[in-house]
Amino acid sequence: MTCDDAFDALTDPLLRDDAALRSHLEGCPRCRQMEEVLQPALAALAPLSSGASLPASEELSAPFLTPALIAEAEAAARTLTPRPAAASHGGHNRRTFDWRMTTFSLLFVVCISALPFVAAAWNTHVTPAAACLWKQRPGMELAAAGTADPADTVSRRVVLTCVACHLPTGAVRP
Amino acid sequence: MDDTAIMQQVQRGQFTLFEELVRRYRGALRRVAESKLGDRSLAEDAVQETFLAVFAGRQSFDPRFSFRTWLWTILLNRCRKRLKRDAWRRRETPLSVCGECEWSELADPAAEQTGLARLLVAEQHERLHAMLEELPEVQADALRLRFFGGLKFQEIADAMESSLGGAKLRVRQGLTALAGLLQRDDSDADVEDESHDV
Repeated sequence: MTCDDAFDALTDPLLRDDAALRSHLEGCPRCRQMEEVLQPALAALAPLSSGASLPASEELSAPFLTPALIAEAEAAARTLTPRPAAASHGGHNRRTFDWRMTTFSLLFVVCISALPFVAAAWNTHVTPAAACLWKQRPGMELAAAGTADPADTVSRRVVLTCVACHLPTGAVRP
Repeated sequence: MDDTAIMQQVQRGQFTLFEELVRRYRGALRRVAESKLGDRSLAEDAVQETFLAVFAGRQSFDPRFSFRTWLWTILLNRCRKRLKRDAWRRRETPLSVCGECEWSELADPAAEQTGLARLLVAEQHERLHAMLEELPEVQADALRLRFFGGLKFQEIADAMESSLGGAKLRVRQGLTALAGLLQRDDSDADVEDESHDV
């Protein structure tokens, strides 16, 4: 018996007390040491090993497959609709996925392309650079000097342009 | 009649012969399933599903290959699926409650033991089950197949899709780790006893 055979026998519940194994262990210190190390585990597993049978109450008392059950199962199997092949099912999913991706891609491209036009229209509508009096305010104040209530007039005109730009939906335009 | 011959007869329509395969393997399959799932009813379900899967797939059985390997591979797969599906249940139901001393009933000598002795045996088995769960799954499965299922190393290798050497290594490593856990547990128990004495 080789050391490999000894390990097989040691872990086989039916061969653990085999004379050949005992003889090998007596002459092989390495295997004897291995048995000592594994002994607690082997002893714990032994009661549940394949040698132990099910209690009588657990043994098969009734037929597992009765003729009626078999007939019922066969009949049910015949009425089942065959499942679609895996490849075609996967292909269908992939086609659906591709269609969605294509739609999203087209929408994305359209949006990106339209963005400059929308921005230009927005700028034209809400930020009339020429109409903005905020930057021209110092010159306006100088020009208005000497007139009646110049500060109030200039301020009112500047604010109107601010409102026109920052509230584009409003009806107020300078 | 060997397993392959029975399966060939079943393939030809002799369904009642399937009972013989059920009789041969039900106990071992249940021991492994119960150890892996930690619950008797789940184990019974897994075993039933395994046999039904074998029966349903009888025409796909190739007599050139081992019936036992096929059977055990199906059982391990069924158990893994059940573990995933019933993970929440396993977390919420302690083994001692769901098992109702089922391990003690499996051990043959238990029939002649007193109630206290049966409880002790059941406790030892639950302890063993808990320790197996602490091991890496491949080692624990290899031990279950070897000791509870009675499989040869080559059959374990085939069922677990490993080499023969790999199967032996898993069993050896599993046994070593289990022995270490058992010794650690005994040492902890000794320390507890000493503290109670003090």
